[in-house]
Amino acid sequence: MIYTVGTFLSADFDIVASASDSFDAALIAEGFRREERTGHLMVGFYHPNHPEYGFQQVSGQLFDGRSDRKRLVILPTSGGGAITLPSIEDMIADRLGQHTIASKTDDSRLQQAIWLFRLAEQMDRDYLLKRVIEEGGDPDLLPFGVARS
Amino acid sequence: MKTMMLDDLLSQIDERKRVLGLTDTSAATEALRNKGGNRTQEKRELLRRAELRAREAGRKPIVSYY
Repeated sequence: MIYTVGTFLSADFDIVASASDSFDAALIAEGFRREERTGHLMVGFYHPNHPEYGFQQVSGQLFDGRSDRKRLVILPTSGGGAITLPSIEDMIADRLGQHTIASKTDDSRLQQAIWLFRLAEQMDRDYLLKRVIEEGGDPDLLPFGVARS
Repeated sequence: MKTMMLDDLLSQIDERKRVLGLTDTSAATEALRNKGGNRTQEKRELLRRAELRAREAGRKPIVSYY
């Protein structure tokens, strides 16, 4: 959403947090509410002021610990908080990896990767290639012959 | 870690879209939308509930396939 300035808008937010209890408490303190779900399904959160969105903590480390944390992007906001995003290279690699296992009739993740690639002002192409391969994606699907050159 | 103001990043990407001639058409957005085939049960439920809450609140739901 942020990396495309709204061209692609998703209703779900995946959040990586190392301490579940602290994460839950922080959201509740900011006015979020727990969803009530039945059975074994993981509980997500929503904010009553923005009911069209759902938020969920994803398990494990960011990209299973394969991403370089030094490349995280911190975006301070005017309200005094901050949003931390994965690097654009990690986002592109994740999309290409997901494309590999997606239905043959659904190339949306590939299209997302291409949009992100085109919109990126700067990127580390060596790191991108490394991460695409780690995520099981095909770097040759990116435009402009970014990789293996 | 890299730090930059959110507004600066958004402006930078907006300018890049302008330079590249990329426009936010409904067709472009739809092409980027996950068609839902590989979603987990948790994610399907999260999206279903988000859509339900939006409708109940009189908001336009974010289009999702689940």
